Amino acid sequence: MKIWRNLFLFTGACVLSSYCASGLYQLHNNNREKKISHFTMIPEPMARAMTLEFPGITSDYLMLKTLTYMGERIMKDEELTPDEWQMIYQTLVQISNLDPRFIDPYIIAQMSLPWDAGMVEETNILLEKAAKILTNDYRPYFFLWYNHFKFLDNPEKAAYYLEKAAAIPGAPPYFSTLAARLNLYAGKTYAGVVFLQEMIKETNDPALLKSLRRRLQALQKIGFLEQKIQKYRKRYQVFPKELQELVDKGLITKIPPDPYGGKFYIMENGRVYTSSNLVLQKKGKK
Amino acid sequence: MNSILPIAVITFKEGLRRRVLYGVMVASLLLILFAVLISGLFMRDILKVMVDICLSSISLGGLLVPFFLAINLLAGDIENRTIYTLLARNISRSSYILGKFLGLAMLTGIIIIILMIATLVAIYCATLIYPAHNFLHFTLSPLFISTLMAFLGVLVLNSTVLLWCSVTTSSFLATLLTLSTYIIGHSVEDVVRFMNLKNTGVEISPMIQATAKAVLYIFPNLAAFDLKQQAAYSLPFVSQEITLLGLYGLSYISIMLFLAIFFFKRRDLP
Amino acid sequence: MSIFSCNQIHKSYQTGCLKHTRKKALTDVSFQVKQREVFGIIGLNGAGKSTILKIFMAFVKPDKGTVSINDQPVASKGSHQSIGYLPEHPSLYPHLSIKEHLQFGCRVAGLSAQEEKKRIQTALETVDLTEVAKMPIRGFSKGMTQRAALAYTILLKPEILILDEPMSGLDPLGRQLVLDIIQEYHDRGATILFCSHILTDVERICDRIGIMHQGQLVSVVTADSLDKDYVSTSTKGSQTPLEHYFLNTVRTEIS
Ligand SMILES: Nc1ncnc2c1ncn2[C@@H]1O[C@H](COP(=O)(O)OP(=O)(O)O)[C@@H](O)[C@H]1O
Ligand SMILES: [Mg+2]
Repeated sequence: MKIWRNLFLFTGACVLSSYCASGLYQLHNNNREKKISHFTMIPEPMARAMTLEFPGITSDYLMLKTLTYMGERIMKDEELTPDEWQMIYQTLVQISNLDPRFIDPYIIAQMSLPWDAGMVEETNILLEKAAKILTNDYRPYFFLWYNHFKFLDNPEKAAYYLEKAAAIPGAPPYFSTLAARLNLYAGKTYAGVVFLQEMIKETNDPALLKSLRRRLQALQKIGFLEQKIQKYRKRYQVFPKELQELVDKGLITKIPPDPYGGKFYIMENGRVYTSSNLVLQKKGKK
Repeated sequence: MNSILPIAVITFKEGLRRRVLYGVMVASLLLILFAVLISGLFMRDILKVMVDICLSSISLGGLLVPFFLAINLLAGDIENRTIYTLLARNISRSSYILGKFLGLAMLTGIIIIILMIATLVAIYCATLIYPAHNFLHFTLSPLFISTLMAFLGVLVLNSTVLLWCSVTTSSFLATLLTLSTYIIGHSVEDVVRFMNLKNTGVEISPMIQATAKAVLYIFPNLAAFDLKQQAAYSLPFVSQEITLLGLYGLSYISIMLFLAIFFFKRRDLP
Repeated sequence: MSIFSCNQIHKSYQTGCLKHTRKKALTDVSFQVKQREVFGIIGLNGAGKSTILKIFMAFVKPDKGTVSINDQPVASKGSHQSIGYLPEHPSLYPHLSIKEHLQFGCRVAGLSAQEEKKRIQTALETVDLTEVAKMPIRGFSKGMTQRAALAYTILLKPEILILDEPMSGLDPLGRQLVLDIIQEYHDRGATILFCSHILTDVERICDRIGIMHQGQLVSVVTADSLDKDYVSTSTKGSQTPLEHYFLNTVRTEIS
């Protein structure tokens, strides 16, 4: 009798506790804090002091929180506001303050900030710091090359960084010839493909991987179209007015769809752009 | 059952006699001084900094009980066989566990009350020193609610200490388990959120999903009891959240006590 | 009707945490103690005396066998309503005074304030600790702690006493005190189970004596028969009858 009563009470308590646990989880999920961690706001020397002998694990934890914060947005295909990007940048800086040799914040910064937030300069500051500390790693210089080449339109500076990257042991051998090839047509698109392929090698976070693959796919399609346009030009001495002309002339069978949900179109200079601007288009919003 | 209160009282007294009160009083004096002086270094949010410092001290003070006193008072009882003195008095083992829990709750309560008074004094002193516009938005209720929830959180940790002490024989192991519970409790929600995130991605592994869920339900979500930020910014409390937290704390404590009694009844006390 | 009764008790302790090595402490122990009897258990160190007493207090559960007090199985509710237990190494809360311990004892029993005061006073006077009643226990010597624990044991005037080496650590006066207490309780009709390895003390107060050796109860004798046997058989003047009997028994067990 007593056993049954106890068992009943115990089960009741378990059910209630689980209910509350999931309720709280949902509640916290719904009104998510607008901050990743308040720790980000603390000045560097004080932050280092406060972590005592645990700056490493603190930076790991902050990294996890940042990834969660960004990942939730990516999953929901929600855009982040400039303020939020600023906060993410601040957090990444704090992580690199605590543990400067930790490569993850630099990679995450490079993979998101210049693309989605337009924060190229900020990313470059982080990368310069990384390049100074991680002297055996070609990636910071590689990223710097890419940013200067792609976003800042500064091929001289870009070439300088690429040279530096190629000089570091472990860099892919084709880096040394990359600079030469980039002067060819459609350089930016090709650089983008190279960059993304390098990135995808680094990544095992499914959310990021998903977004990187989507971008790579789009760039590959653009590259493919631009290549065909060059072919068209060789043949007819003019750029096509519409992509449809490539189909009409039998160069391609059909215009590939944009993985971001936009539409590819051709510019005067023979380059291909997309109406999505490589930002995911919300369904229904046309 | 009527022996619960005497056990609680004797635990409380023995805890206090370990110079706990003196320590806490000195600490709260320091707290007042520190809070008043430090917050002057900040330009704008004097009140926020003060509330931060005070509430953190309250939490730290509360944590003294599970980490130092509780383990001493419980594992020490068993290791030094003082428990024979109690159990020889026709006291059932369940009364022992409940009495100990109540005693520890009283200790936690008194420490938190003293620190709370110190907090109020500190804020009062600050209003005398610093310009009044800093304190326009000050209300007491967020302070009280957040302290109450911190208290509940410490009680949850206390109840896990009871469980650990009733399943292990060594106080060292009990301390270690308590520390792990504390750390897991404060990070479990973030980690589960992260794991869930991965799963909605490319491949969903039901195994990992189930583990993440189980971890959330098994370990106490101590981070949920931490409402310091809300209090510091005087954000409104969601009444649903407070209700859920209260129920969660109480039911979790009952589960821990149930299990502690279950294991404690079945163990030898050689 | 027997007050203490145990039947074919086996007990082994688990030593080692991961390896399930076990140390045998009791093998097949059975005995009964009748009302108003003083039963003494003697044996070498590690013979299992304390283990038996702990089993009667339900601190330790036997692997096999049944144990009952007052015909109620131990560990059932109320089975040690009126038992006074003195542990082998009594330990009280170091920061509390003896008075506070005694107050606790009275409160648990639900005594009135008046009764409480009277009981505490008598207990303190019995063990001669009135002067240090308000001193924290950690300032006590071993003997004083033993006395304090004794006061706590007899606080509620129990009808059953279980004493684990009550004389250890006491001065001659204290030892006499324990003997007096046992005598007094015996006269009052209490049943007493106790163990010791000081044979002369046991001999003076016990009605029956059990001899334990390596976890087994090898022999139970009455004090009367011991005297008779000794007178008729022994010529060794330097040993008391119990010493003689005990040594003989243990020696035959070893060989
Ligand atoms: N907690 C324990 N863990 C392991 N072995 C124990 C424990 N307590 C007692 N023993 C063993 O049980 C046997 C009996 O011990 P005990 O009853 O204390 O003997 P004594 O007759 O000296 O009181 C001893 O061999 C001892 O080593
Ligand atoms: Mg012993």
